[in-house]
Amino acid sequence: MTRDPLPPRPRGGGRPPDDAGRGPVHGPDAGARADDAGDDRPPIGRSWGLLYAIVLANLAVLIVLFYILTETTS
Amino acid sequence: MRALDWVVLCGWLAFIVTYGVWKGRRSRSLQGYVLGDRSMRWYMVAFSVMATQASAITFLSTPGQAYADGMRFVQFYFGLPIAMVVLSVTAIPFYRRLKVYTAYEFLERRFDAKVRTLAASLFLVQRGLACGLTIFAPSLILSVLLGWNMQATIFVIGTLVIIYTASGGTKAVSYTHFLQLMILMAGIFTALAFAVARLPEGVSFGDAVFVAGKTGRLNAIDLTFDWKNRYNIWSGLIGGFFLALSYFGTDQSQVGRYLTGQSVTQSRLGLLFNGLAKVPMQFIILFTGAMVFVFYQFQAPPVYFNPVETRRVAASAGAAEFDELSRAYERAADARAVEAMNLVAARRDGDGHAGERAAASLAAADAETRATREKAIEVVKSANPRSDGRDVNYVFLTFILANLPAGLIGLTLASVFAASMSSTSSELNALASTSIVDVYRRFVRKEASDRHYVVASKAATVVWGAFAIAFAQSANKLGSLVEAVNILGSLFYGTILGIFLLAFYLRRVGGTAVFLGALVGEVAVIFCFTSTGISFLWYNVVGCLGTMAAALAVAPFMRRRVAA
Repeated sequence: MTRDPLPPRPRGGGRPPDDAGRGPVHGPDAGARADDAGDDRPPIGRSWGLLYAIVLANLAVLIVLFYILTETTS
Repeated sequence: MRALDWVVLCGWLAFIVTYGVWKGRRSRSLQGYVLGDRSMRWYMVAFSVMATQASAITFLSTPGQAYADGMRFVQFYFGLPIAMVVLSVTAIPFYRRLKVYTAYEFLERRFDAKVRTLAASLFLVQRGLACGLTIFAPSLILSVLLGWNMQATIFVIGTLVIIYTASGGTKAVSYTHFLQLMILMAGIFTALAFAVARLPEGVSFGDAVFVAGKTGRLNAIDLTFDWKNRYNIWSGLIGGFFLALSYFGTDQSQVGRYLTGQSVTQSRLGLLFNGLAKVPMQFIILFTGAMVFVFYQFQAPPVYFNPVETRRVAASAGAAEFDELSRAYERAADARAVEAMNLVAARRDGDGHAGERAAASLAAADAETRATREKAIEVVKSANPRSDGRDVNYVFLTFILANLPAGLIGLTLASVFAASMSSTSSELNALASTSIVDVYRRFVRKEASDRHYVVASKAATVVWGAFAIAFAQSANKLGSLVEAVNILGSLFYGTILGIFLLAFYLRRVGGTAVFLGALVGEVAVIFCFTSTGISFLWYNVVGCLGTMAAALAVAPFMRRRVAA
């Protein structure tokens, strides 16, 4: 599934922002959930890969249907 | 417009503003104001993402696009579902893990402050201008409908959006999006139903589809490859993919929507639902335009759809010529209606040869009407040299006003306002978030209370709203609105996308190399825009690849400098 999404520290001149995870504007994250790593199972379907495949298959079917519509009505 | 229409329209506007203010009344922290406390379920994320993209421009101009050019515009959206999958795999986990408020905040963590500032600046310029266009569209309706002063109309509409967006922040925006998307689709289905119901007696829905096909309005797929052809399957899949990747992955008006999700799962499901539903939704809107076109095959449309310009011609030296052309157009349109009925009859009889002959006759009659209309448009342009003669934005509106009953006109106009307010509110919210998080809090006031930043965000929303209102005053010079917005976006999206792809995938490229690469990419896009005839969808590819290639080319030298 998804790889570790944390990017490396910037090289040569990069500096951490003033607000990286602290201070009054980054208080306790009430909305953060355990699956913020993104590797949990989806609530529907067996896996995220299956859901992605459904979205892409849906696009392919629509293109085929539109092509048939174009050809048969022109 | 009758009293019932006014009741429906004004009632809707009052309700949505009140509802937005009420829903956002508890947004007292910056996280609450900008991210809605990250509390949204997937369907709220999905509706919010879709409502943000579906502006009044979508509602008004897209059916007109199908009327004038057929349904090939639907190909523009083919890259979107692929982009939704890519973003679900990559961008969402990145943003969520880092708990950023804006997409550009991530760039400083990955590169440095100047890259963050460059990307945020490109966004602020591009989105600030586009926001003006989204306020302009419904104002156009009122000015045409009531003869109101355009500037006053823009001010009133812009102010209503500013009230609930500034007051309630992201929560107000997300909750109102759900209702706005519902009423938008109700308006489209109502218009579609009436376009079919108002066909002449004996002409069925199947006949209408047949006529639309024979007149080239169901040309949904074009397989030919041509750099200068705006809408074919290749520009849609490749250029549209880059555009959607950039819009949904790096534009704060969209990133801000799915960052409100409760979790990665909720944000992902929201984007994937958009990937499933967006193309069919656009197909329905375009199909409505095609049905309006068929309706006008059987009934003479106005020779020119902009009544303001028509009145201007009537008062000019070209009035007599325009009158003569209008009568000639009406005669040609009547002859075309006869040919359209012949085509329907041939279909009913199942006579293929007669059908082909009728289709050819209809095409000839349509060419005659178009030639007469072109002459009339030249008279319009002579009467007003500032006019570009395009009336595509008025087609759908004209149909609605002439053919829907009292109450439903108000409902449909409420849909237009809903669409406009939904996009505008997201844009103002994103512009304010970026201004405060990426500029004000980063460079001006680094340490202040949460309450201070919320107040500053509200002020920024009002300022950006005022800017958008000011820009909207000149928007009627831009031709087809839907194209104007997409062209404007394409001038910047490719470069921004290049920056983010370098951030996500190429770990050895540093901030200075990316900054220089972005400047090269943007120059390449501007060169394509000003000096070549390349279709605008390809600007996204040029900007993205130009930025990445230039950054990769200079990166070794930057590393050497750092090492030295």
